[in-house]
Amino acid sequence: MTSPHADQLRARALALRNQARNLDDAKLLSLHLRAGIDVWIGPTATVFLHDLSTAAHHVRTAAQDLREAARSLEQQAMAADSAALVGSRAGGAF
Amino acid sequence: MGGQLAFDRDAINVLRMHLRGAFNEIDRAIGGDSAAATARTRAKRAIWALDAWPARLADISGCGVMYGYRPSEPGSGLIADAYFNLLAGGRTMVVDPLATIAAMQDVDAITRARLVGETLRAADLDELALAETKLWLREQLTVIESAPAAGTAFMRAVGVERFLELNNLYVSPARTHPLVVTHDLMPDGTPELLATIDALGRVFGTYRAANPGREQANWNEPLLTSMEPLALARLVRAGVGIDGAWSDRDVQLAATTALEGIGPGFVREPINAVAGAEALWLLAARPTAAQAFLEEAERSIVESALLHFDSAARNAMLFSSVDDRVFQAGDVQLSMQRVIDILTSTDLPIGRYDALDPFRPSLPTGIAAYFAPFLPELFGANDLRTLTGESASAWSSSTGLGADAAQLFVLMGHHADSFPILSEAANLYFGLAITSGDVGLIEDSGRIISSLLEVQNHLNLTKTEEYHSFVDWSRSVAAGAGVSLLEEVPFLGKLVGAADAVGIVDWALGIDSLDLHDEFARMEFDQVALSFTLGWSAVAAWASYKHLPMPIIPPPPTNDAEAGEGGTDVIDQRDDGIIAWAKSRGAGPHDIEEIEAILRSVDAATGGNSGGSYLFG
Repeated sequence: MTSPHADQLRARALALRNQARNLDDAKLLSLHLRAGIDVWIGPTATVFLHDLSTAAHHVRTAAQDLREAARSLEQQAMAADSAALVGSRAGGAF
Repeated sequence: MGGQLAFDRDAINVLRMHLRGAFNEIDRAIGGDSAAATARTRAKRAIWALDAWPARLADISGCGVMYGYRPSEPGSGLIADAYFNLLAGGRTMVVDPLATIAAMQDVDAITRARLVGETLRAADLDELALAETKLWLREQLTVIESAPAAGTAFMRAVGVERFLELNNLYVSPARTHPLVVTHDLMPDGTPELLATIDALGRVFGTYRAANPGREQANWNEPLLTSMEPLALARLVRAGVGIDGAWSDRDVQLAATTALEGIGPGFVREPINAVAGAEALWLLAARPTAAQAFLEEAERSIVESALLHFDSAARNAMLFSSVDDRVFQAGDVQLSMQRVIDILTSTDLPIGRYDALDPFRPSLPTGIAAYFAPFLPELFGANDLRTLTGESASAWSSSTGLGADAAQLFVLMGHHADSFPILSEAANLYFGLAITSGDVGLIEDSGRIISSLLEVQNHLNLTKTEEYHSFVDWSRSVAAGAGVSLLEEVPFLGKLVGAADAVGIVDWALGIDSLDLHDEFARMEFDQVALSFTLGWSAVAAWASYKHLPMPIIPPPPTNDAEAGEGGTDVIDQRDDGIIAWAKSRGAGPHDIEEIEAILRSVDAATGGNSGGSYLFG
């Protein structure tokens, strides 16, 4: 048995995990494949790849942040379920 | 070769398209859940890291030099090899916009011009401000200037926006370090910061001349709305001598815009002082523009132009506006009237840049030469113009400038060079009038001279050498031309009457130095009438000098009266009449002594003394 609140938390966690997966598949993370020496050569190209690497790092970190947030929500959901179960048992004793 | 960039245009365009798509994807990837706040911030940082690149990629793909090149073709990933391979194949490479600008060798002037233009357009402004970049650009511009077609290639490659930014950038040091305007001079004396603008201005002028019509017109609006006053004036001035580059109207608009851009409260800032002078020099290069500016510009702008900037530039602009190679006297009326109106109704500036005596308002030196050629018109004696072989000018207001002109001459008179210039011009017309024998013109020229003398008296100026030479010269002209002095008595009376008492005596005594006995005898001159007129005129001048009411000159005594009563009686009666008048006006014993001294001098000069032993004795 799960509580409505725990259901809501799990739904949010699921959405965040989906968003993290979307970031994992983001085009930006494969953009370096379109900016190699067959496209351009020179310092500008080097700087672009550096900037792209920085951006990709941010994207991957954002995905991790989303997963971390999802885990947190899921733990809250479990806690909510436990609290609801304890509550229902206590109510039966009276 | 680290400064070069080779690229595949199509691939760059694809990369730019994917980059845009990636931005949108990231932007939409994370929803609004409060638990995702940290992740959203991270995602935005990802976009920020790359948000300058779409524009850069567009610039690179827009470069026309490398069209059709594939980086894989040279057979090596090394840019040095690629560069030499391309050059050997007759191709050129674009300078990498993010790297140090390198010199380009072995390319023709037009290609070089295009390369330079594209480089400038793609580079960061900060990089263009570097001293080494400026040096590099000046070298490139020297080459571009040598080929007219290269100017067009350069201008089209650099584009309007970057070209204007570049000029503004090059004058910007003057705003924070004003001394750079006058220091860091080039070998020819040009300030270093303006030398590149001059070169850009010459290239720009060549481009405008070669591309009239719409392409030229497309530049005008951004030029007038986006440039620093100094950059605008200097840029246009650098190319103003190139046929077809700038119309008179363009020049007028550019100079007016620059002067407007300075603003009335900032004319003392060194950069603005230089900018104002540049605008005036620009106008000076085009007489029609200078005149139209004086006629049409907002009053405060004209006032600023006349009073606040370098007087050499201001005078050059004024002289240009009345250039007799372009204009007839009738053409200059409106502009000169406006100048007079402003100068005579303005509280003249006092400041260290103008070096004006705060207790003695004056006009900056040199301005007399602007007005001097137009003395006939200024004094409403338009017909005098015909004496120089020109048609009478058409100044519509024959008397309206009289008071203003006198005030103007007073303001000018504090400068030592003013009255010699004005006197010389007045003498010219006087001499021509005397030679013509036209009494009306002689009177007109005499009126001008007497007005100038009045101003000199007003200023308590010592009579100039020109004044004395005028006196001597006019007498000699009169004698040489055989003009009847008798006919000129009214004129002489006006002329002498305007001078001060000392001047009158000088004049009267001076006449005696001529061989007037013969002259007067030949002309059957009425000596009594001359003596009488001069006497009254001299006393009238004395009265003016003493601030007494002017006497009313009575009709001259008739020959019958002279014959009936004898010369002595007439002279005595005349003297008595003058002295009686003076006493009635409150003259004291000392005044009476002065009057008697004046009359004795006049008598001695004209032979009209009471002793009776003179001309016609």
